[in-house]
Amino acid sequence: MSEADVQLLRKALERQKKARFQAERILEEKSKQLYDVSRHLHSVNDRLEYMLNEKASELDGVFINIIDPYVIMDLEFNVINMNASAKEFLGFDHMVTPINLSELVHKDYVEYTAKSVASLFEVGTLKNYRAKIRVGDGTEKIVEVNGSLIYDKERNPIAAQGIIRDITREAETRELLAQQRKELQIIVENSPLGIVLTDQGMIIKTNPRFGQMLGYGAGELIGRHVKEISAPGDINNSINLLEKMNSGNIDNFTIIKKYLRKDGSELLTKTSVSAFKNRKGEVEYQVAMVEDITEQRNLELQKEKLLGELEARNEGLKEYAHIVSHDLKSPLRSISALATWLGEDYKDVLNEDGLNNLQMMQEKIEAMDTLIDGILKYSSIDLASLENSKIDLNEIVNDIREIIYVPEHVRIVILNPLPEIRADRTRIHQLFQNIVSNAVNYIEVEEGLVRISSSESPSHWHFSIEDNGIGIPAQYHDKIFKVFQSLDNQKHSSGLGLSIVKKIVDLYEGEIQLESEVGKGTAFNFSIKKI
Amino acid sequence: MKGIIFTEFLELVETKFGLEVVDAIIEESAVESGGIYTSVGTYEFSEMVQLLSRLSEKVNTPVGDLLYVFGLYLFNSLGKAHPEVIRAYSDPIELLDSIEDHIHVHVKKLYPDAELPTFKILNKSDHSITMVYSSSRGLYRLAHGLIHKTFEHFNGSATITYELLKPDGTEVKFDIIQDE
Repeated sequence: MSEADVQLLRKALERQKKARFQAERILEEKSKQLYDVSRHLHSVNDRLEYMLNEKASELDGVFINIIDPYVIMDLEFNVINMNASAKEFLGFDHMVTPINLSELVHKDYVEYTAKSVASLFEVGTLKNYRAKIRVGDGTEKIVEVNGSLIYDKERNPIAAQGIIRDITREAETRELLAQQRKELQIIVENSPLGIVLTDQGMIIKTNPRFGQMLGYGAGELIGRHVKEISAPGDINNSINLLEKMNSGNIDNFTIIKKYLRKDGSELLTKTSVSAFKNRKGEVEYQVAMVEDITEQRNLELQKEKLLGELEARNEGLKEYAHIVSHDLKSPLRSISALATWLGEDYKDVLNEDGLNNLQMMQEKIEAMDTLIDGILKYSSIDLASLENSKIDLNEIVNDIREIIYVPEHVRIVILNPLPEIRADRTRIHQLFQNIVSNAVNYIEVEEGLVRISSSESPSHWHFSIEDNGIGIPAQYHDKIFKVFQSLDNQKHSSGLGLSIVKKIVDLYEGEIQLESEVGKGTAFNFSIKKI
Repeated sequence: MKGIIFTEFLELVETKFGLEVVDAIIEESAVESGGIYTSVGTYEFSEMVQLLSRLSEKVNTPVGDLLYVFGLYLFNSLGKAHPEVIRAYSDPIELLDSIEDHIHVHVKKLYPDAELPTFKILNKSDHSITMVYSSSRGLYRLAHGLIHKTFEHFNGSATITYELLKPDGTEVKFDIIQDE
């Protein structure tokens, strides 16, 4: 090899060495860079891991603690994760059996669900999805779902999450409310009473009847003030009461109110107003129920008029009876006196027949006098003149024993102590006396017995007066209580006695009936209402 | 310019023209690096220009032709350094089509500071491709050699024609038609 070649080779070698050094330095440099990058990556990694753990833990916390059922599903509706609440509600555990949410949807809601899913994918969120589903144990529930898509780093949807709310009860309640509202509507629309809703006097709503009552068409009254349809002069009555109600002193009130019809005529009503309060207890508006009482008022007025007339007529009759009896009695007294004088002055001249005739005249006069008294008594018995007080019937019977003529062979016996009752003393006296004296007078057996007994029912006192007298034939049983029917013209009865008895019993809202057999005796049974 | 170009270039010169020529062009061009190149280093492009022109003078061959020959040689060097790139393709047209979007992208990942030419595909078929080479370096003849060798690697050949869209060769249109 020549020197030149050696030289060349040496130079080339030299360059190679230097190139190698260069390469080594570049390598070192690269190594250091790599080391730095690696360390940086490690620390970034550590930080990322830490953040990820934090986030995962946060998410777990949220997941576990969400009270509502919370579900994560993939894009084919398979459940990826569900919290405890969801497992309980849906009745499934995705870790035990794989669940596909589309299987739970009720068939009526399949189309709606498809539309909602499409919307979810378009918008990214799903709000107020409501459908019927079937849960694990087969029961149907109505749910509301709010959810959103979950994306990967490139904004591609990879899953969806949602919160499920059980609104079955809500839905039922809503349906019930709607039902009740409909029922209320029917009641209001068809009520025979007029119904008005007002707010501070402004009419918000009326039912058809109210409009009819005032002659307005549907909706004509809305927005108008009650003042406009109230009769002038009538408004002030209600203002005071309205204020009391609005301030909470009273909850409702009822007044007689005159409305003004569309044609200008007045409508008399009974109006009941109630306050409708909101949840805070403030009066929100007023509800009025309006009843047309024109008819009623007319009837009442008529009744009053009739009563007045009746009273006047009664008074008139009483006066008449008084006057008549007085006018009738006066000549009787004269006739009686004259007959007596005739008897005294001419007793030497008159024979037995004549004296007899005079005697009979006196008897007849007396009978007529009694009769006039009887008529007067009868006509004076009326409800208004009853003065009720506490009376002891035993006392009354004893009084009667003293007053009337009781033949020696007759005994009046009280079987059980008679009660103390509330009634008009005079009338009851009359009542008992009339029956007892009848009983006493018509006994022919040797031992006459008049038995008085009583009993009690919840509403009435019952009495029985029995005798062993001659009895009353059956054909007279009806007539006997009628005025002027006497079965015997000889004795001192005016024929009015039992009519008076019946009138008094009627006044006391009782009943009277008789049992009698000719030759055996008679029993009068009557009752008086307890007052 | 990446060191690998320099080292391969000098290898080629040594093989074809001998160590003496190598020494001579280094000494005479008086490049700053002193001719010391390592494949992992980076050096001034101007040094390559100087070395090329010295060589051209020395061996009496136009720079363009030298570059073409270098291109043929460089293909194998690159293939040896990064065999996985060549293996990814079964067809020369496919490979050429992927230089811009895949191969050079891969190169940039490894050598972020590499300054690479850009290729724009004008049209492509199963057996032809038209691409436009752009580079401030104007090394289209190097590209030419690489393209030719590509077809050879896949046991084929092609007719390659080119047209200078810019006179300085910074933009050149290549029409390549694969031979049957």
